[in-house]
Amino acid sequence: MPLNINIQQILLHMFNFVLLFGISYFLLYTPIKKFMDERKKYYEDMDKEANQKIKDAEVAKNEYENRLSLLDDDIAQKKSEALAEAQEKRDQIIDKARAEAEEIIESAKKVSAFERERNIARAKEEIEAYVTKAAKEIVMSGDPYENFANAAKKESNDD
Amino acid sequence: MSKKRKLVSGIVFGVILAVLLVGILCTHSHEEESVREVMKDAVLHEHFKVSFFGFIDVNPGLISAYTVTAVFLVFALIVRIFFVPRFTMIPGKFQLLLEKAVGIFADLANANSPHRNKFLGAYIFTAGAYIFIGTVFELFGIQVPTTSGGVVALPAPLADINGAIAMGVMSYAVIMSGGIAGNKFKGVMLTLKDFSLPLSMSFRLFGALLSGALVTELVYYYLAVSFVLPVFVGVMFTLLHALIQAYVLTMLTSLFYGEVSEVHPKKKKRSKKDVTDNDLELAK
Repeated sequence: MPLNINIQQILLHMFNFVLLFGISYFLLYTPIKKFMDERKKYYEDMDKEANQKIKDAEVAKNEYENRLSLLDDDIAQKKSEALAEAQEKRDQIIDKARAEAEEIIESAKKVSAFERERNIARAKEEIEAYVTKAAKEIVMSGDPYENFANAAKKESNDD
Repeated sequence: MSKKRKLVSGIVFGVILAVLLVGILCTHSHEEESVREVMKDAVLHEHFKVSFFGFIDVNPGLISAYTVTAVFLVFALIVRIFFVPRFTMIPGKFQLLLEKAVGIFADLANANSPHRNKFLGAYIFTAGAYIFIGTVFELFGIQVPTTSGGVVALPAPLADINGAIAMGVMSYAVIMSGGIAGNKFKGVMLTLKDFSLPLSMSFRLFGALLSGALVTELVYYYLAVSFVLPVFVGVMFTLLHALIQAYVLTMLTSLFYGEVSEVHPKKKKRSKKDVTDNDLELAK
């Protein structure tokens, strides 16, 4: 063959290279590549996990921010409700107090009227009794006019 | 310039001159062998044959190839047994070197053939390592006895034309296998379209590696200072060839592999209805 080309030696070279490929594939390339791929996957997973955590945190942050804004509204609403309720209660208490006061005044008026009437009646009775007594004494003693005057004088002195 | 510096410079200059003179006096001329014979022998290896385990007489390049494989096997075993199980997530220097070597070829395969690259990555890693180590192996100048009674320094495996042809043909076969895996029979046709590829690959490798050897031989033959300049020229040529040829062959293989293994979707024939609808849409 020209250029010293030899089929047998070409085949021997091929055999050698196939052998080398087997060695390289099983002992070097695959284990190292596998390790590199696993490490790449590990860091990719870690990265993915970190990104997911960041996303979750952002979602949670937004949620809390929404909640906070809602809470502010809620607080304002509750405050206004409480104020309204307090106002209502205050009005109720005032109305009740007013009604009670009116009732007390009314009953006091009734009691005072009753007392007055009773006092007047008692005074009338007493006056009648005094008059009767004085009349009796006048009748029983000398000058009725003088006795009456003395008795009245004495009564007024006693009071 | 200070006196001390002048003195040092003078001494260095004198030593270089003395070394060169000794070299000129000590080296013998190649009068008994013409440059034509030296070149012819470097290309064809017709005279120096080496016995292959006593079976047949082969070119020294084949012995180099098997020696490289043996060295590679020992290295791979040591790495697999002692280093790979102790790989850490944060790599050390040696682990980084191994990962870089694998990563370069895996990335090259991925870049040129993103759709199918597992086998290709392993192949170009092996081919790249073989070309690089095989070419650098030449630097060691291991001497082996020839069948004619002399000794010969083992050349790079791919400086042997049979080794280069084997490499080119195998790369072509790998490309074709990618074509078949990706496109079945069409892949074969796509590969056969570049029928000159094995030839070009083989002779590119052979020519590139041989040119380095020839230049070194010429420098050795003609230059009297054959123990200073050839060392530099030889090492530089060898290292550059090792790197460039490893890159070129692996890049070409992955490029063609990616091209022929890429799956092309079948084009649908347009029905009359489609044509009318499309034309209507275009008209609108």
